[in-house]
Amino acid sequence: MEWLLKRKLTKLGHKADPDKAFTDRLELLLMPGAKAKGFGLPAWKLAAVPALALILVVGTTGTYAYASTDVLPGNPLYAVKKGLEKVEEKTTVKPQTKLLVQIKHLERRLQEDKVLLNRNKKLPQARLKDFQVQLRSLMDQAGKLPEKQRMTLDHQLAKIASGYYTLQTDVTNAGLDAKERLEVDRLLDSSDKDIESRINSMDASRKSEFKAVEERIRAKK
Amino acid sequence: MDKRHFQEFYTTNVKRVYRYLYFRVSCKKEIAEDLTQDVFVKALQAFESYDPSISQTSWILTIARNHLINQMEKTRTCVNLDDVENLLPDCQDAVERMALRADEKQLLQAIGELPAEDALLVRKKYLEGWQYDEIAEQVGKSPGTLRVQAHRALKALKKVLKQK
Repeated sequence: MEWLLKRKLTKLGHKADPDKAFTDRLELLLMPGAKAKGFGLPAWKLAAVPALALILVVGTTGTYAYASTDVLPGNPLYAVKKGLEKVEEKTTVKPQTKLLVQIKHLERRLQEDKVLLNRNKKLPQARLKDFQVQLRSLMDQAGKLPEKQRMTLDHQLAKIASGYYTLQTDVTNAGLDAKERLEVDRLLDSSDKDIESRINSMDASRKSEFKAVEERIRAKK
Repeated sequence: MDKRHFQEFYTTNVKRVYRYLYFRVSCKKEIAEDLTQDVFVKALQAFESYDPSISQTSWILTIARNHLINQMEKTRTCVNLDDVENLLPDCQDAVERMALRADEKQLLQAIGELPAEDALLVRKKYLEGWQYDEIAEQVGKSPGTLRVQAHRALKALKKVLKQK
């Protein structure tokens, strides 16, 4: 424990340090023309202040962008949010955990779509299309996992898919003109077929998870 | 040497010179401050004639040591150069003036019980804050030898502390 003894000795030495007021006063007495150097702080400390402030600002902004439900498309911080989500996905190694993260992000997209629809009374078709693509991709990826791992994921995916069909109803009930309605219907129909065919090809245990989704698709018809 | 470099010289050495003097005037803050001021005033006056080939540490320490001896001569009849160098503060004085805790007091006492050479090295390195190469210039040994000696001195210090 020599380091402990060294530390104690050094600490004892520091107790014999001169007061800063004294060294400053003496410095001024010896060199009256000398200008005070950066509030009396060494250069590395002065450089550390803006660096720490920058880290703090970037960190706080990033955390806010990532966690806030108010950061929606159109907000300058939305790109930060998406970027951080990408980083989160890339840094996850285990396939099951990666899927869980992707499902969490898809659920966020659904919440964002709901807010956007409430706010603007319309939802860009591109967002609906993106959502469908991601939903189908996650359903496929989950299907490749062993049954035990897949069960939790399927449950969450089915929940999101049900939410998506509620959103679809809201989109079509929103003030769309005839042309827009036709385009949205066409887009949703093709997606329904894709999802339905995926559910049909599932084994019985998996199919039961998506039963509610299947029923909603049938009810639409 | 150019006086423009004095500020850098001052910043590098003021704390160590102060500590050097502080421990040799029984931890009396006011006296240490006065002496430090005198030492740096003298250094500033002589700075233009300072030869950069001589180490700054040796130069400022010589000024500080000589000034300390002069001051002591005014109050004492006879002053030995070695006495000045090896002078350890009276433990009770240090406890009161430095507001030392019990373990710090014990540590200071233990340093006093080490062989003179070891005690001086521990004080210079840890209490006064000199680097090994600077101490090497002061005592005329190589930094490597001092490192080994410091290691042994710390072991001995630990032993003394255990016995307390």
